[in-house]
Amino acid sequence: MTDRNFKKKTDTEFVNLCSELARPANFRRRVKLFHHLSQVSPFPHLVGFSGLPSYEIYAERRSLVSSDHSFLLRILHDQLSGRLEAHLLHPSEHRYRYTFIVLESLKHEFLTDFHGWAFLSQIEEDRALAAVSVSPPAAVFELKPDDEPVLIFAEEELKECRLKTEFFSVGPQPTLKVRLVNLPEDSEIKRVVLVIDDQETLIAVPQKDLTFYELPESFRTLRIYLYE
Amino acid sequence: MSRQASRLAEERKVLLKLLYIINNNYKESDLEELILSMVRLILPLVRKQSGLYLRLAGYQPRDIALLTISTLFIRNKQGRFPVLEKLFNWKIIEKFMVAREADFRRYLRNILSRRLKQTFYYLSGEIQPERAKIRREILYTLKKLPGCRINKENGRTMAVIQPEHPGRTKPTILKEDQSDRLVEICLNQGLGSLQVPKFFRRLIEVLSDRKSPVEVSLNTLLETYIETQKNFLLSEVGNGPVTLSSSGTGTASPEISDLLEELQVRNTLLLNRYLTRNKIRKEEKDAYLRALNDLFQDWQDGGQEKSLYEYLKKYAPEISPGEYRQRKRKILEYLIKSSRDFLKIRLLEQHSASGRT
Amino acid sequence: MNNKTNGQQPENPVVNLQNLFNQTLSSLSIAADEQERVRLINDFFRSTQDLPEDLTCSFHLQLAGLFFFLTASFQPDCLPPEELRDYVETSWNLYRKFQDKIHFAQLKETLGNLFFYQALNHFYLGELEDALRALRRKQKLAAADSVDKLAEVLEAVEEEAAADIRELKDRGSSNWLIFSELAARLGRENGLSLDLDLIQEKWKKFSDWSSDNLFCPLVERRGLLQAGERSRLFLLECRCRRSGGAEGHNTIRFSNLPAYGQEETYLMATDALEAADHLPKAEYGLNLPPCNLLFSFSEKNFIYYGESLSLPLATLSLTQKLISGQRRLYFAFSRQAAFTGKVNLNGETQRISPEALEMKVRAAFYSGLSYLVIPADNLKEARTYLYELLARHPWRKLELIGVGNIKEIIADSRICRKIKRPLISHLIRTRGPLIRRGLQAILGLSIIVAALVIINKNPSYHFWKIRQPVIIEVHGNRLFAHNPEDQLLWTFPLRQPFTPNSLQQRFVDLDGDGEEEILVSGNYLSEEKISSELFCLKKSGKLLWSYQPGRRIKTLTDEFSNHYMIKRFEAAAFDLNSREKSVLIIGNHVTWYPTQISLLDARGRLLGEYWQAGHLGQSALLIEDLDEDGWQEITAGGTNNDFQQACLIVLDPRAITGCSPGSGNPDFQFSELPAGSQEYYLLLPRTTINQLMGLRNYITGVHLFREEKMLEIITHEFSKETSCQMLYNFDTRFNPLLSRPTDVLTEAVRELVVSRILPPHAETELRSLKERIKYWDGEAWVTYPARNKKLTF
Repeated sequence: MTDRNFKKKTDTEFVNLCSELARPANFRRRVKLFHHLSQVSPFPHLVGFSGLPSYEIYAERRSLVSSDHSFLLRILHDQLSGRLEAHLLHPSEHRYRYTFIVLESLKHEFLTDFHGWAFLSQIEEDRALAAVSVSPPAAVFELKPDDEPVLIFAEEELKECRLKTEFFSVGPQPTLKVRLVNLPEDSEIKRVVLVIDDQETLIAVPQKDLTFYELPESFRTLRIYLYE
Repeated sequence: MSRQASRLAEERKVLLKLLYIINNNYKESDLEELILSMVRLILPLVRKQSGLYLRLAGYQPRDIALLTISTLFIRNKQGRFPVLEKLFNWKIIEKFMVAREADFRRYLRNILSRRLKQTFYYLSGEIQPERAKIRREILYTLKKLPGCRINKENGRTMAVIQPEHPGRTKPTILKEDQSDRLVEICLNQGLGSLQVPKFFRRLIEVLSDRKSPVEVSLNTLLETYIETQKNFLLSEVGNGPVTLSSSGTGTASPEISDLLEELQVRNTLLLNRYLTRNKIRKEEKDAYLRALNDLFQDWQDGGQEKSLYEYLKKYAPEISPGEYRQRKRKILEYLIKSSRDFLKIRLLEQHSASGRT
Repeated sequence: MNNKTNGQQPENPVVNLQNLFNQTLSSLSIAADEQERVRLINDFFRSTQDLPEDLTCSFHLQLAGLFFFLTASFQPDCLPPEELRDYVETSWNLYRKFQDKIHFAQLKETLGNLFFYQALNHFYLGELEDALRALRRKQKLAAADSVDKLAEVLEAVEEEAAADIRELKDRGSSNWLIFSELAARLGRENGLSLDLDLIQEKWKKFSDWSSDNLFCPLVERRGLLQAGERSRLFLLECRCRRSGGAEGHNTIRFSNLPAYGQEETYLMATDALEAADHLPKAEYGLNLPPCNLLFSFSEKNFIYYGESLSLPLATLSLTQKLISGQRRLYFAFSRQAAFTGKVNLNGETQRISPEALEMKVRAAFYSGLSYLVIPADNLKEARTYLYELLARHPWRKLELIGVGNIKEIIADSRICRKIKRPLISHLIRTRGPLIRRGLQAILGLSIIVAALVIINKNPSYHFWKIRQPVIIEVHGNRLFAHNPEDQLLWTFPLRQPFTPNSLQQRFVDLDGDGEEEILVSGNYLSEEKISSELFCLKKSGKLLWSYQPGRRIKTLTDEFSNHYMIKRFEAAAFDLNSREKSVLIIGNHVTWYPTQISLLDARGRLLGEYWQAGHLGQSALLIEDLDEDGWQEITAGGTNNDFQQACLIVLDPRAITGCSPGSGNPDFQFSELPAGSQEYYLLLPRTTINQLMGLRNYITGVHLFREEKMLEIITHEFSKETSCQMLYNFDTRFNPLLSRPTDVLTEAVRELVVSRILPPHAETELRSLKERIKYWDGEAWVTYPARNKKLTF
C-alpha cells in the first residue's frame, strides 16, 4: 500500500472513529418488537361524549411485543402533559430497567428509567414506531464508595467481565474513570451508562474501553450498565 | 487558504455547531462535524503536550484526542450534553458570536487544553513510563551538559553536578530518600513543563548555583523527573494554571485589564532604563513590550505557549538565538519575573480586599 | 399419557397482566352501569396489587382516571358498605401512587361521594354510629386542604358511640323511622344538616304508596352460561289503557326489554295478567275489560329474563286494570316493599330458584326497603339468607313476607292499601266528560238566559228597533218611550208616579246641536200637595236636567208652600240670534194664586222668574217678538187676584224678575221680591156683567194676527152655557185698537139688561171698554199705553 493510500485509509478510519461518537449505537444485542393487537380502549366512549375533560390520564396508543411475548412495550399518551411515553415490561428487572428502546426508522434511541419508563420526545407515531427494538444491558455493576465494583448481573458471555474504577476528586468536579476489563474477544461495548442514585443517567461511548464521567458533589449509589 | 485562515474557519464552524447543539436542533451530521473539528483542533495540542506520555504508553495521539473529546459528549437522560453545555453555554456562545474570532479561539483552546491535561492526569495511573527510554535520554542529555559528569560506580550510574567555580569540597551524595527535596526544587523552579533536555539543563543550572557539588544517581534523577511531571500535572489540573481570566469567560475582567495596563507602564519604564543604559536598542523596546503582551495574553489563556525566545522573535526577527541567549534572555526573564511578582502581589491584594480567599 | 411438557414455560406475568387488563376493558365497555364499572376497575386493582409496581404502573394509571371520575359521581345502590370502604382504600392508594397526576380536589370529590354513600348504606342498615362517623369524615374531608390532613382524617381513631344513639337503635320499628328521629335530634347543628337532608331525599324513593309502579329485585344474567351475577332493584312501571273491542283480550308491551328471551317473557307476562284477571272475578265477581298494558323499567340497559317477574306484574296489572276500568276501588302498593315471585294462572305463588333468591335478599337487605314479598314456599330459605346477613349487620329491619296468593298481598295492610274514591270524584272520573259537557251546556245556557234577561230589561240595548220618533207615556212611576210601532225604546224612572193626564211633552232641539231633546213634565201623584217636575231628556232617554217650579213664597200676611204645578211650558228661541232655545215654564201654586213664570236656558239653568199674583191662562200665552228687537217677548194673560181683573203681562226674556204690580194690599204684596221687570202690565176692565155675576174676569186667549201685526186678547166675562168673552185688539205696542164683545156676551148682557138685572150701561160700555184699560208704567197705573219706565232696554 502506498503511503498516500495508507494515509487515506487511516484518515477514513479516523473519521469513522470520530463519527462513532455521534452515530446511534447499532447494538448487536437487540430484541425486535412486533405490533400487538390490544383491546380497543373503551374510554372515549365511556366519558368522551359527556363533554367532560377526558379522565383517561393515559391513553394507550400502541402495544409491541417480542416474539416470545416476554417483552411488552406499551406506548402511552399522557393526556395531562401531552407527552408520549413508553413503558417497557418484562418479568426480569434487568431487562426493562435502563434498557435502550431503539426506534430504527428515526435512528433514535431512548433509555428507560428504573421503572421501565422512557419519555419519547415529539415523534411521528406511525413512522417512528414502524420498527422498534429493545437493547437491554448486557452487564450491570454496582459501585459503592471505597469499594470495588460488584457485578450484579451479566449475560453469559460477559460473566467474566470486570470493571476498574478510579475516583478523582481534584479538578473542577469529581470524576469517575471506568475501565472495562476482561471483555471477551468478539464483544464490543457500544455504550456505558452510569446511573447516579437512580436519578441521573450519563450515557458514554467508551474509547479504548475507557470512559470518564463527571459526578455531582454528593451521591449515594452508582450503577454502571454495559450494552453490546 | 492559509493555515491560519483555515484554522479560523474551523473554529467558526465549531461555534456554529455548538449553537445548534445548545438549541437542541442539530442533525447527526452536525454532531459528527463538530466532533471532528474538535478532534482536529485538539490533536496538535496533544502532540505538543503529551510528548512524554506518548512515548510512555500505547496511546496514539488520536486516542488521547478522542478520549478527551468524548468526555464532552456524554449524554444525559434527556439526550443533552451536560458537560458541553456547561462549558459552552448560551451566554458564552452568544458573546462569541459577536466577539472577535481570536477570542473564541483562545477560549476554545483554553478549554481543550485544560481537558487534555485532565485526561493526562487521569491516565497517569495507567501509564507505565518507558523508564528505559527516558533513562537513556537523561543520560544522553547529562553527558552533553557542562557542569555535569557521569560516573559509573559499582554498577550504578551517578551524575556529579559541579558548581561553576567548584571549590575543593567533596560532592555531597544525594540519598534516595532525599529525592523528595529534589522534586521540590524542580517544582519550585517550574521545571514541570519541560522536556528532558531542557529539564535537566535547568536543573543543573539550579544545582550549579550552589556552592558545593552534588552527586545523585541516575535512577534518582529518573524518578525525580517522572515525579515532577506527575506532580506538575496534578498541580496544573488541581489548581489550574496561573490564569488571569475570571470564571472561565475567556476574557480578562476589567480589574485584570487595568492591572495589565499598569504592568505595561511599569515595564515601559523598566525598558526605558535599559535603553538609557544602552542595554537595548530603541527598536527592540517595542518588540519587548509586544512580546510581553503576548505572553500575558497566553497566561490568561492557560499558560506560556512557546519559548520566550519565540515570543521575542516574532516582533524582532533579526535577533539570533545566540544573541538572545547572550544578552536578551536575561532582560526578558527579569521583566517576566518582575511582572509575575507584581501580578501575584496585586492579585492577592485584590482577593483579600474583596473578601475572597 | 405422559403430560409432562418439555421445558415448561414459566408463567409470564406480563402476558397474564395484559390479558387481565384487556378482559377488564371489554367488561367495562359492556357494563350495565357505573356501579358495575367501578366494581370491575376495583377488582382489577385488587387482583394486581401484589404484582411488582413497575409492571402494573401503566395499567393502573390508565384506569385510575376513570376510577376517580366514576366514583366521584356514581350513585350506587344495594351496595354493602364494606365494598364502599374498599373503594375508599383503593382511591387513597391510587392517589398516593400517582399524586402528581391526580388532582387533590378530584380525590376529595371521590372520597366525599363515597363517604356519603357509606353513610346512606349504614343508615339503611341501622348502623347509626358508623353512618355518623362517615358523615363526620365527609365533613372533615371538606375542610382538609392538604394530603397530610386528609391522611389524618382517614386514619382517625373512631370514637365511642353516644348512649342515646344506642338506645335509639333499639327502639325504632323501621330503619327509616330510626333515621328520621336521629336527624330530628341532631337538628340543624353540626353542619350535617345538608347531608342528612340529602339522605332523606334519597330514601324518599322507598316511601309512599303507588298504584302505577313497584319495586322488584331482578337478577342480571351474563355470559353464555347466563350465570347470575347480582341482583338489583328495579322500579317496574305500568300504564294501562282500555283497549278497543278489536282484540278482546289483554295486550302487553314492554318498552325496554333485552333482545333474547323476549318470547318467554311475554308468555310469562300473559300468564301474570290472567292471574290478575282471575282474582277480581273470583273474589268480587268483577269482569275487568281487556286492556292495553305498557310496562317499563326504570333502568334502560338491564339484562334480565326469568319468571320471578310474574308476581309483580300480576300485582301491578290488577290495580292498573281496576283504575282503567274506572272502578271506584283500586289498590296502592307500598314502595317500602319489593315484590318477587312466580304466579300461576290462579294467582297462586310458586317457588323461585334459591340462588336467585339469595341475591335478591341481599339486594333488598342493602337497600332502604322495609319489606320483601316472596312466595311462601321460599320463606324458609329466605330467612336463612337473611339471618346470615343479619349476623353481619344486626340492626337492619327488613321483613320477609311470604305470600301464597295475590289475595294475601292485597289483604296485607303493610304492603297494600285499598283506595276507594269519593263518589263525586269517582263520578267525575267515570262520567267525567259527560259531566263536563253538561256543565258546559249549563254554563252556556245560563249565559244566554242572562243575556236575554239583561237585554230584555234594558230596552236601550234593543238596537234593532227604530228609535224615532218617540212617544212618551207615563205608567206608574216610569216614563215609557215608544216608537210609532209601539216598541219600547227606553224607560225613565220617576221619583213618584205622574198623574197620567198631567204629562206634557215637547221634542225640541234646545242646544242647537241638531239632536232633539225631549222635554217632559208632569204632576206627581201624591195624597198631599201636588208638585210638578220638568225633565229634559236626550233622545236615548238619558236625563239632561230637570226642573221643579216654585218655591216657598211669602206675602206680608201669607206663606205659600212649595207645591206648584206646571201649567204649561214652551221652548222657544227667545233670542232670535241664538241657536239655543230657552224653556218657559208657567207654574202655579196648587191651591193659591201665585203663578211663577220661569225661564230656563238650554241646560236647565234658571235665567229668571216672575211672580204673578194670580193665575195665568193655559192658552193665554204668546211668544213673539212684537217689538222687533230680536227678542221674543212672552205675552201671557190671566187674572190678577189683587185687582180682581184680567191682566196681561208682557215680559222681555232679558229681564224676568220681580212680581206683578200690587195695589198695596198687604195680602197680595209679595215680600222679598223686587218690582216686576215686565215690559207691559195691562189690567183689562171688568164688564158690568162680570162685576155682578163673577168674581173676576180673566184672559183666556192671546193671539197674534201676523200680517196685520195685531194682537187679539180674549177675556172671559161670564159663563152661561158657553163662555161669554170680550175681545180686545191691540197693536204691537199695546195700543188698544178695539174692544168688542162676543155675540154671546152681547146676548147675555142684553138679556140681563132686559131683565133689569144689569144696568143698561152694561151693554153700552162693551164697545168702549178699551178706554178703561190700565197700564202700569213702572210707577203708577195709567190709562194710556205705557211701557215700564224702569226698564233699561
